[in-house]
Amino acid sequence: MNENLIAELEARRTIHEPPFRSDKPIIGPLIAWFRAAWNSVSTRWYVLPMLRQQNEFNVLLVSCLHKMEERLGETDERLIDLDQDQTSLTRNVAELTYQLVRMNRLLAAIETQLNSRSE
Amino acid sequence: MKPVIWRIAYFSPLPPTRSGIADYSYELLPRLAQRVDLTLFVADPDRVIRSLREQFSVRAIEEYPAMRWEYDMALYQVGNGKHHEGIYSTLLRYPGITILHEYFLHHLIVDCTIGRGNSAGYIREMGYGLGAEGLCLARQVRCGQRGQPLFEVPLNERLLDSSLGVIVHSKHVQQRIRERRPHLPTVVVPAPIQNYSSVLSRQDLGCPDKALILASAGQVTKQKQIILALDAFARLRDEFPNAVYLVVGEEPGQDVDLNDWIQQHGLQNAVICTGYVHDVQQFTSWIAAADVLVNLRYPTVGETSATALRGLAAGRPVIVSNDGWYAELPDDVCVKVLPNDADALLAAMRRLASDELLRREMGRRAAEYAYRQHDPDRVAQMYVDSIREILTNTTNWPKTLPGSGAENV
Repeated sequence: MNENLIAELEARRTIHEPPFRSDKPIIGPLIAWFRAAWNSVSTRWYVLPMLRQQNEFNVLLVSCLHKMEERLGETDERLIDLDQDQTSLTRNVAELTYQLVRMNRLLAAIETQLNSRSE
Repeated sequence: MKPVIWRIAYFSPLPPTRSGIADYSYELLPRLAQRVDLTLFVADPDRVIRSLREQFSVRAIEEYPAMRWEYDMALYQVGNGKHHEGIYSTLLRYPGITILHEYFLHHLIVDCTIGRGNSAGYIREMGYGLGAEGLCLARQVRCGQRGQPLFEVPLNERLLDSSLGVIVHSKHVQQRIRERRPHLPTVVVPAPIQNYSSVLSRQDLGCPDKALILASAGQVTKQKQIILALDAFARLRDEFPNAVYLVVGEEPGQDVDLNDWIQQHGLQNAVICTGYVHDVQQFTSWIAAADVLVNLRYPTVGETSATALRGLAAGRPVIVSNDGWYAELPDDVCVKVLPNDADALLAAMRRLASDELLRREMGRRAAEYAYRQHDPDRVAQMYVDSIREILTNTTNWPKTLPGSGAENV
């Protein structure tokens, strides 16, 4: 998981109420004030709880991602350990294979020697 | 009674594959075959040159798993390039003795993983080699946040952990392996070099008869610093206007633009580029046509240069980078310069260019050294001794078999 991405999510997890603005000259502040006033009457009481809900959800989500990242790190470490174990086991099997080949050759040589004696 | 001969499965690229290791095996195999029973395993047996097919049993690598019970040991020739993919994967599955031609295997791993669209495989290898830090690095590579650390991370850990023993060509590499895997049997065996007599004269090759000739040979890559050498050569020509530079070998990639350099410096008549030379005897003739061989390498991936050795065997003074295996060469058979030191390189060229006696003396000592150390017969015997040492360590091979009446070899 990309650590930078999680850090960015963490930095942006809290949603803030944006202040009303207007670019209109002279009457701009008046427009902004009117919008803010209208908002507090009509929608703010409804939107703010949702904003809180969303923020709580975001905090939970980022914390989950952190935990998942930790878990993935642990899994990575475990996979590397398993990978190294597997390599070591494959090497051991190869050693045993060569030892078996050697024993087969020894047995064949002993057999030949015994046969030649009995003849 | 008949002496018992070891049965060896030998994995290597073979001619006509364009690889230094293919040539290496070609020179070693006849000598090794006098001492052990060899079966050769390659990617495509039908492509192998006829002379080898007539002399040896040549099988496809895929046949080995079913045949492995027939062999006392497998020898894997491993280099840092695409010709070794099949050999590398077989080695990991059925380990044996590895002959490690380059300490760094990062290019090979990239070919085996990312080159086949398997970036997860690359991440796995980086994790195996460097742990969590490697995983992080590999993921950055995958996201394009950084380039592949081809010369910083060797990525040879899995190969070392798999191998029953390792044969290397320099103390430099042996030391590096011992630092990381102290219990792994690691033996130094010099690379074999056949001393071919020069079959073609300067005249046959179209080289000016009386000119002072410098040469670089082998694949033209950025690491061989041909441009650095040519820059020094261009300055040398102020004092030796008749000097000529030979570039003997192919340009496999786009990282060096020789033609562009030649055009820019207007040295079309002073720099001769041969392209790939198929025949090793002809290759040696080109090297022998030179008065001085320039064999730089930076960064080194822990390789031994067959080209430098061919130059020494041909009795030519060689200028090398004072790094890795090159630093192990005796001081009286070559001139060593610090990597990337253009002034030191020019001074070395000037010294050799102006002193014919020095060139002759150094060349004589170089040829003697190459014969003493790198004679294929001597190397083949060292191979057998090393195999015996490793087999005794790992599988308790006895010195004799009952009834054989002789040592194994």
